Formats: sequence, C-alpha cells, structure tokens
Amino acid sequence: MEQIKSIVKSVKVPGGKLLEIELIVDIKERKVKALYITGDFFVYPPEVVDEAEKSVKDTKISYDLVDKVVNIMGKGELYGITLNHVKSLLKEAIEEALRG
Amino acid sequence: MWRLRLIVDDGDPYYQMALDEALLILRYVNITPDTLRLYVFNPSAITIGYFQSLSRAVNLERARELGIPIVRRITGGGSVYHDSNGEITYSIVSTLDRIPRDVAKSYEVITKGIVYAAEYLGVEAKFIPINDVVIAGKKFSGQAQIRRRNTVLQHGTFMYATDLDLLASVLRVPKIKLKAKKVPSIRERVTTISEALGRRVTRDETIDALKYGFSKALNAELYEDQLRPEEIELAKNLMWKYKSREWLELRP
Repeated sequence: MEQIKSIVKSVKVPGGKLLEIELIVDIKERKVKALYITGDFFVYPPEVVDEAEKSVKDTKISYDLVDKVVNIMGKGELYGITLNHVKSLLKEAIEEALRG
Repeated sequence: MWRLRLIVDDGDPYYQMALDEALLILRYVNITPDTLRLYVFNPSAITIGYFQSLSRAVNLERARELGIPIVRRITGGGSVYHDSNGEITYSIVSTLDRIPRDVAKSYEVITKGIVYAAEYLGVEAKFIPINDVVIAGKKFSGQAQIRRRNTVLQHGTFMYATDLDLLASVLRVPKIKLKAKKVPSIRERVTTISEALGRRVTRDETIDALKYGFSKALNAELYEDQLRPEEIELAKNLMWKYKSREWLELRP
C-alpha cells in the first residue's frame, strides 16, 4: 500500500462555485502532509485560506482539524461557497484518511 | 462626474498581472488615481484564480505543447484563456468611495460596464451573479475582485473573438461543474461577441465599446493617460513573483 495518499472531495455549490478539498496524508504516520482548499470561489481576504491550509500541515489526522480550518476560514467573507461546504468535504476526506 | 484615468496597453501576462497588483497597492497609498485599464495579453496566455489547483484548472500538457504561458492571479475565480486576437481584459482600481462596499453589489455595478459594452456592439448580455456575463446563457465574460484596505481591484474579460476550440482544449472544468451547468463540455458553455453577431468584431470596435460601457455604468468621464514611473517600477518588481514556480504552484 502507498504510504502517501491524496484524497480529493469536491462539490459544485448550487448557484455558487466549485469547491475542492485535497488532503494529502501519510497513512503510516497518520499525519496530514498538506491540505489544499481549491476552486473558483472568492474569499476576502484571500490569506485566510492560506492560513487555514498551513494550520493543519504535519498534524495528526483527526476530526479536530475540521474546527481548526473552519475557524480560520470563518475570519474571512466567503462568496460562492459556505463554511458548511468546507466542513462537510473536509469531514469526508478525514473519514477516508482514517480508514487508511 | 467621476474622472477616471484610462490606460490602454498590451504586454506579457506577468507584466499585466504585476501591473494590476501594483495599481492596487499604489492606489491605497494615493500615488495611483482611480484607473480603468483596457489591455491585451501578448502573447495569448492562461490565468488561473488564486485558489485554483493548477493541474485541475489547466490542461498542462496541451498548454505546454502550444507554448501558452500560465499565470496565477491574486484574485479568486476561475481559469481564463486570454486570446491576443480575441479578448480584451479590463481592470478597475478605485477606492470604495466610488464603489459599493457590499461585495455582490460592487460586482453588479462594475460589471454593468460589460453589459453596456455588449449592447453597444448590438448584443443583449445578462449579468449572472456572482461574476459571469452571458449571451443567451453562454458565458463570454468573467470578473474577479480583490480588496485591500479601502481599495478594490476588479478585473475581467471580454471575449469578442476568442478561439473557443483552443480555449476548450487548454482549460479544464471538472465534470461536476459541467453537470451543474447542464452542458456536455466547456465548448458548449462559452461564446463570443463575434459568434453572437455572426460577423468578426475588431479589437478597435471592442475597445470603443468598453470605453462607452464603463463610462455609462460608472457615470465616469475617461481621460487617457500614461502610467507613472512608480507604477511601472513596482510592476517590474512584482513580475518576479508572477514568473516564479512557487507562485504558480501555490496550489498544485
């Protein structure tokens, strides 16, 4: 089995934009190697997304990451996606990561 | 009436994206006046939104084959193919005194310029929130915005004669998005002014139309001018960021 795994979850928000969550994990060490929150949405200011992505780098895979990311992104104004979309895709990705 | 400086130019994609950012920064320190830029990407190029995954937004293999440069923007939104001979990009830099603070409203107010420009050329276009303009349901213009302090930069496209087959071959749109838009492929989702009119519209006509459109939408009087030395200098310094692999692959 590959040790590094990329998990991508995506949604097209009705009347909004595309949101993709890419979670790159080290299955053996149970750690997040990288998180990318991507798509054609808008966030003001954009840096909150960078900050959210960086906040979980090299941390243990767990559902706590969801709140961490959502709290940071919540500091911005989102257009085309909502925090709930981020939350549910991230949950799905973590679920898959925990299954290994 | 709002006196709005007009800059018309062309240049490579790194310069264009660097200059938009330079104008945003220099606007809020009051060196740059409120400005409308109408510009051409020369050579033709692809830009992607700040949050986009490079490999999921662009067909990298195809872009490399065709030698088309790719640049990441500071603004969100989607991937764009800027055809040198078929697309004019505009950018507006202004303080929020002239533009609504409400984001959705500000998109609508500025993007009216695109709707009026199309109307000037004889095409009925419609703004679809958040940031699209369509002709009979097909997109020919997209906008993206960023704000810093009390200043807004909005840039967007106006496809008057873009090679849409080429566009469709270099941009990637995920299946779930096409499905939501109820189109089989990206080619069916886009159009140009020329396609709508059934005749080839020229660059000069398009620039006239955009001048008319934005003056009307913003109740502004345009005066054509040159860039200031500080603007060119900062743009040249910022170009390195846009040329860097690190920036392009911020979200690989």
